[in-house]
Amino acid sequence: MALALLPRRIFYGLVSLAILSVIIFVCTHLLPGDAATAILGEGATPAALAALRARLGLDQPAPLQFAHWLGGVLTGDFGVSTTLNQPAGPIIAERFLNSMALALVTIFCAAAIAIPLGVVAAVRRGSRLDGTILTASYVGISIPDFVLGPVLILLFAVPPLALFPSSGFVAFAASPAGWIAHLVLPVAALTVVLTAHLMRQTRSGMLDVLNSDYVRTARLKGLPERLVLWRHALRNALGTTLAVLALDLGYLMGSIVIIEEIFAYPGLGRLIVYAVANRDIPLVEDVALVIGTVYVAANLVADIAHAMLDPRLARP
Amino acid sequence: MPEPLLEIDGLSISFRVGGRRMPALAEFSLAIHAGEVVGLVGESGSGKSTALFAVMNYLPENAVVERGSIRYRGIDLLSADRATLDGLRGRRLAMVYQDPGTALNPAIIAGDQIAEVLRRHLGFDEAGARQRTKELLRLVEIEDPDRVYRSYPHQLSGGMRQRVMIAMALSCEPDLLLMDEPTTALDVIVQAHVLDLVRSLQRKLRSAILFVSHNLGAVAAIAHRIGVLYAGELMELGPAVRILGKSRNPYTLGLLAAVPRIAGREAVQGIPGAASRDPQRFGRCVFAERCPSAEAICLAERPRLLAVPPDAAQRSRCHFANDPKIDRAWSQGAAAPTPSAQPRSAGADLLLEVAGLSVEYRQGFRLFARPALRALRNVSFRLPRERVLAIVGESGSGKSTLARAILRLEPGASGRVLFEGADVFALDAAGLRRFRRKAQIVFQNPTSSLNPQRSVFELVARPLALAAVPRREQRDRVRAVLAAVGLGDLYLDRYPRQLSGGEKQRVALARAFVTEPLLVILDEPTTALDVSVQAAVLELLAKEKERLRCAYLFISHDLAVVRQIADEVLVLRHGTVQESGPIEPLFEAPANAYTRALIAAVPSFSTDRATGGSPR
Ligand SMILES: Nc1ncnc2c1ncn2[C@@H]1O[C@H](COP(=O)(O)OP(=O)(O)O)[C@@H](O)[C@H]1O
Repeated sequence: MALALLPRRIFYGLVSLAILSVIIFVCTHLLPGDAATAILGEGATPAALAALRARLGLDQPAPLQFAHWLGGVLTGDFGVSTTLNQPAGPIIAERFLNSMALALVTIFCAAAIAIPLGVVAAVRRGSRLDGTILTASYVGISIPDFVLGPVLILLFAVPPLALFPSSGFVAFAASPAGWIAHLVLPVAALTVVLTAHLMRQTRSGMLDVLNSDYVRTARLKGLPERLVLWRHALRNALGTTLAVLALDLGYLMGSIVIIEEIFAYPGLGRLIVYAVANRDIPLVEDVALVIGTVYVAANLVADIAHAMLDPRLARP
Repeated sequence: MPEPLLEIDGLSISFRVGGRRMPALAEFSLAIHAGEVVGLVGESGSGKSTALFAVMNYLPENAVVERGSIRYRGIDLLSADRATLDGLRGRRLAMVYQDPGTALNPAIIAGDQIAEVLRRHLGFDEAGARQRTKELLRLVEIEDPDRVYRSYPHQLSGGMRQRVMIAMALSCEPDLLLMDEPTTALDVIVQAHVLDLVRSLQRKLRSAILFVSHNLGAVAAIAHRIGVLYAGELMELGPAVRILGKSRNPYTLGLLAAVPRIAGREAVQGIPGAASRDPQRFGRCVFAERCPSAEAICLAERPRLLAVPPDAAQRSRCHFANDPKIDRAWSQGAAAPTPSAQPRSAGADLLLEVAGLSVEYRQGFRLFARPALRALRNVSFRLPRERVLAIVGESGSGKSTLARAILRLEPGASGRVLFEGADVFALDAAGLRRFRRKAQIVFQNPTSSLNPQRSVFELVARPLALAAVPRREQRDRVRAVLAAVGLGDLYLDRYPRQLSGGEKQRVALARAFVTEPLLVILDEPTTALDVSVQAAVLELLAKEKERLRCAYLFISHDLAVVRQIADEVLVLRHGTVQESGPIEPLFEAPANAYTRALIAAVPSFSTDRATGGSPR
């Protein structure tokens, strides 16, 4: 994507979010039973239900409800959680930060492991090392995260090792050490899958570059291999890898739902599971939209990163 | 004689392919002396690149050097270690590649890629290297070295990039410059400029050059000596004038006869068949099965490189190198197709009329649309029946857009296209189907235009099936048309991957001809083919035109080819018509400056120079 196309990309991103918001709204309203029944239970009197519906605005026509919700979200008013009886905004903000901490630490760890290994595997293509790295990545990709999470808990969170807490969360401000300790296992679980994927991407990107004509030119200029790799190959290979990384942030949002649930980590994933289980419809809608926004933003960042790193796109 | 600079001695190379060894080069020997320009010509697969990259000791991983050595000033390059090679590469032996678009690093500015070589080999510091790089850019006739220095490769034109490559290769004043098809990826006019530049730089710097190309014209323009490769075998080697004018090898002679000449309409003659890939071929003459002079001995014994009188400077690998019979071998070929003799378009026999045709490309969707790009502006011409109109121009001139617009495949087209008097843009669905049956198109690249999942029969029968021709009749007509394009029944059940490039293009032509069209649009139909195959396809086109009495719209960037086949020419540039008219006057006395430049740019050579002198 050339940088000149950025406004168009942003526009498309906003369009997808608008469509997503409609889908979310329609889906939640197709669910049997509305928020009022969810709150008061099946045995509530019709009069009580009607009163609550009026208070929640559920008696208004659907388009109006939708406009009300979306208008609120756009102006920073996320409505009120029907089960917690609190404004949804602050709850979501706190959980959002927790999830982002998890995602960003994961991405950082995955990149730190995967990029060097992927590059080495490509440079030593066909060697034992390459074989080992590739096999490991296959294994990493094929273990589902709902298996990996419990396995990690069994290995590291229960005696005899009991190195890390198996679940829960401590705020960074309260205890940085506690915060880190609670992050280790969920990050480890997420990192395994991501690393495997990223490593393979890096390896194949680097292989393409190593087989390119310009790397041949660099070698046949008499540059030593070290310079060929550092100056000519890496620069081009990393551009695509970084873009993949940004995309992975979006992909991570999916895994996070499962991992947070397993480790009882208070993030967006856990929040949406709670909201769905308890029919807290405003919360479901808000969290789904926030997760969608992260996804769209990650895609946009990927595009921008790619464009900035490739002079063909940055300077036509 | 002084020691040669580079000595390739008995080099045999094969490739491991699926457990087998496929030989690619057989006992290839060549010596290059300081300051000498040696050209190596050969068709695709003849082993040119293999020989060239072997000198750099940079062969593909599956290559095996079976025998032989390559010595540069006494250093055995094939057994040298990486450190030794790094010291020679770029410093003593430098290379220029076919595609400067991919050979330069897209992420580094052009100047730094040259400066890097100076710093690596000549110990320049950063500022000194920058300074010297700009001088080098000036040396390759780049007028604004500062801008080019700072440009990324994609910001430069193809010709500029190749100049940058040449500056890079010459930066350390190497003893030997290896050039791998350095002009092939460039437009005609740029090609000529780059050739001129290389020639003048060579005189100035006195580097030796090994110039590899499939283009005999380009090689003839620059080489002192020429080697001719065929199927991995060096067929002939000698001073350029003798190879071009007094060849003693049937393959070289066949190749010379196949090259179309810009100077006039002469018989181009194809060499029947395709190069042998048989791994056992080096036990005999590799050219035997295509050679008109072959005898029993040619299939039984590998010919040696025989010296050709008066001296051993010229040597030919042919049992009959010194037998006069090979001179007559190719003489009973086809006569040159003459321009059609009918009087010019009387209204009645007009087939296609194009009036004020323009094509605009809209970029993007309406919302953020950028200004429309005009790919074609106001093009008009008339094509009578049974005539050939050539559309010539460089890449991006709008040739293919024109072809697509005529077939109503360009949504942004405006203007008028009349086919047999009917407005093509106004046809209804049924009319359009009928029109597309009568007007066929053949593309440049047969590999991408033929569906690999379909057999030859299915491919060729497809237009008939679409026209609801009964199955029985389909079979007969496909057979007939395949025979007409020189493919027998044997080919009916083959798939594209089992065909050579020339055979694929014949299938594509058969598919176009099977509906007996009145108009065939040929979009660079021979560009992807080897010269000898190209000549055969041109012969075929001339024959089919006679048989079907159809007209051709022949799109090409190659003026020499155009000269062989067209009755009229239309020169396009940036989507506008520069000049048009009957072929002879236009080629003899072009009125337009651009046309003149195009014609002058075609490397030409004559085969009948009796005496030496510097080439061209
Ligand atoms: N990497 C490779 N693997 C297998 N065969 C190859 C490889 N490179 C070239 N060849 C074969 O070697 C022969 C010579 O190829 P090449 O030197 O590329 O010819 P040219 O440069 O004249 O087109 C051809 O038959 C080609 O198919």
